[in-house]
Amino acid sequence: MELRRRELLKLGLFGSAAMLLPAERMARTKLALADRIPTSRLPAPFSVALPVPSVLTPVRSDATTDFYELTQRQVSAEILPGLRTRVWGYNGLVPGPTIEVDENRATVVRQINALPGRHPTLGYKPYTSTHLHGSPSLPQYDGYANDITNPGEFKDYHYPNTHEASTLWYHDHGVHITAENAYMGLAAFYLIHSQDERDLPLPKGRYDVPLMVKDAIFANNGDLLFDDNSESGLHGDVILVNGKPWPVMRVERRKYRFRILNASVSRSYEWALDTGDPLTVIATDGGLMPAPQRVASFRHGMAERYSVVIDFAKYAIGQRVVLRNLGPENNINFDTTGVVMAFDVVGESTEPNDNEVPDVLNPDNPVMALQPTPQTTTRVLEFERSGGSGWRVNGMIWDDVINSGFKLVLGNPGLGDVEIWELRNRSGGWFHPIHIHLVDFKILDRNGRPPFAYEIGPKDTAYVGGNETVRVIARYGPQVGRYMMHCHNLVHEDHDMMLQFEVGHGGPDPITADPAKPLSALRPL
Amino acid sequence: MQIALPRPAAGSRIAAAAPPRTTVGVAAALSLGAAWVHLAYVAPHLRQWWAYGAFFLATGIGQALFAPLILRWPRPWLAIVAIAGNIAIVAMYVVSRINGAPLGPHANVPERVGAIDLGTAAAEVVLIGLLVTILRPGARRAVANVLTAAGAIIWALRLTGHLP
Repeated sequence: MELRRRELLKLGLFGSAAMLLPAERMARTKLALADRIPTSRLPAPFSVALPVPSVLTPVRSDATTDFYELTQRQVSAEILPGLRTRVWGYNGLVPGPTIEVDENRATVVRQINALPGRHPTLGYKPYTSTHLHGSPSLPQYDGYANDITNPGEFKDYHYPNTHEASTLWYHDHGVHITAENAYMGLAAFYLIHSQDERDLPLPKGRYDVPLMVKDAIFANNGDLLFDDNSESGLHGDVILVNGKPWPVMRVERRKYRFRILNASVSRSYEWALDTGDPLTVIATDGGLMPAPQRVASFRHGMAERYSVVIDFAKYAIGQRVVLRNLGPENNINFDTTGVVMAFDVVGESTEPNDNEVPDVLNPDNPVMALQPTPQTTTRVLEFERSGGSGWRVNGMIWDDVINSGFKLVLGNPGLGDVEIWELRNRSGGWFHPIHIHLVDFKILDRNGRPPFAYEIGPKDTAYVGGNETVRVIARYGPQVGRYMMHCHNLVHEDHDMMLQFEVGHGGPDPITADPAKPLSALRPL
Repeated sequence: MQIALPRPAAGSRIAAAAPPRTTVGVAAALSLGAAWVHLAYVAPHLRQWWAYGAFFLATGIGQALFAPLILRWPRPWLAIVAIAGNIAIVAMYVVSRINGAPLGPHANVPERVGAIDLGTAAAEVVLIGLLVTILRPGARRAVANVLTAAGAIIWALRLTGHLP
């Protein structure tokens, strides 16, 4: 009754396939994490110059619209000096190229998925869905998670750009793999300008600098390592600004505007200058604040955008000013994550104009005028972790939405309705930056107290810290249809802290209204 | 003087000798262990998709029922049914960890490999090996060939890059 040698070999062939392939995956992951590059091999802070992402040129323009084309592809980039890193970039760039557009001028952005058939180390098929974060796009152009573009397909996204001047960004939103895709580099700025903003004497041109901050983990061979700590979050030991580790920027003795985007998967930051001088916050996610706010430091969650003005005129030529990260609670911090970048003051100002911060910036933003009334509908959204089925919102997960045939909604505000959403996090162990698609909102209060000074501006993402309850008020529109709402810790989002709401009734279906097409159908824009 | 020989069992040309109790006992224990793991993970999979949950439930029940059945009736036909079922389960496991489930909300997203699921798959492979020893020679050859083909196909897909 014993197995003969021949049978044992045959069973071994099957057993080895069944065991070794999964075991190899597990070992590869563990070995990769053990292969993390040591701190001693990381570049010294402030030894690499800060790059500024290039601005994308339209392939064509007509009277109302600019047409852009982007190809998502894998490239080998030098992020850490002397090492090559496989990344995915829009047009092969990390960060991707910046799109700059004037308010009310439409754009069509073609996204071509030319990524490899499999992720180089994680092995999944990299379908994508591109979300223009902060834009009131139609449902089929909002980067709905299940509206995917597979490798070998493309999709033309239409954007109205009716939003007022603001710092938006486009990034991947593919269902269940957003964290991995964005971590590989699929993120870029999208700036909307307006005449009202130009008329203000704020720093402009080369003094208006976008800073995309993210953290990463590198292997000895330069590859990115993805470790989400059992679906809790990814916390890297290398801080990248515009794709470079702890860079340094040469500045003149004048004011600069920095549009800071936290593009990390899971890390939040608390910014402060090592000089102890205040930061002047002038804009939030949705554009300029009513008035500037001077703060010694401020907390910045994933996907939030804050514009700050730093006045280097007070520093002597030759002085170095360091932007620090004080490390908000519920992050995994390393010795290397306490500093972000530096500014070397190298000369006098060469441009006397646009070197002020007015006391009044944007007093007429309709979002900031919203006020609750006794009749205002309030919805309560509770964000929690359940041991068995991941991250939930009111006990529901995105799989519930999928399993409902995409019919399940957390709420159905009418077009133009004003509602208060109460965002609750009863856990002290996590924070959740909550992003509501389509709308900008005003933060009414945080744990019953007024919002932080730096939050008094139009927002689309609210930092809900441990044991915090944040109330936000918004007018739901201007589009009709289904939109997502989720935690912007992308690991939480993928596992499955995401639901949807429907504005009005009907509206274009986000998946079927204008799906991706094969490359064989590609025609010039 | 004539000696009375035992009659072969109905439907078989030669009566099969009873498999060793140890073999059967270990097979039953392995099946029960695998069943326990599958049943413990029904709820989270059901939450993801009813079909994922149903697969885990059916697998767990099937493996749990197999244990007393094989102890009571250690017959080759029962072993063949269990071998077929466990090959299917192991194959689905490999696909889910390498390529992702073929259907459902998590289609094509490979699942994380953990010690528990890897240990369960190992138990199922050992279980298949034990059950092969219960079979009659012809069936043993056939099952061994099926295992060879399955293993060769998986390895070929892996080595040619069709499985990541």
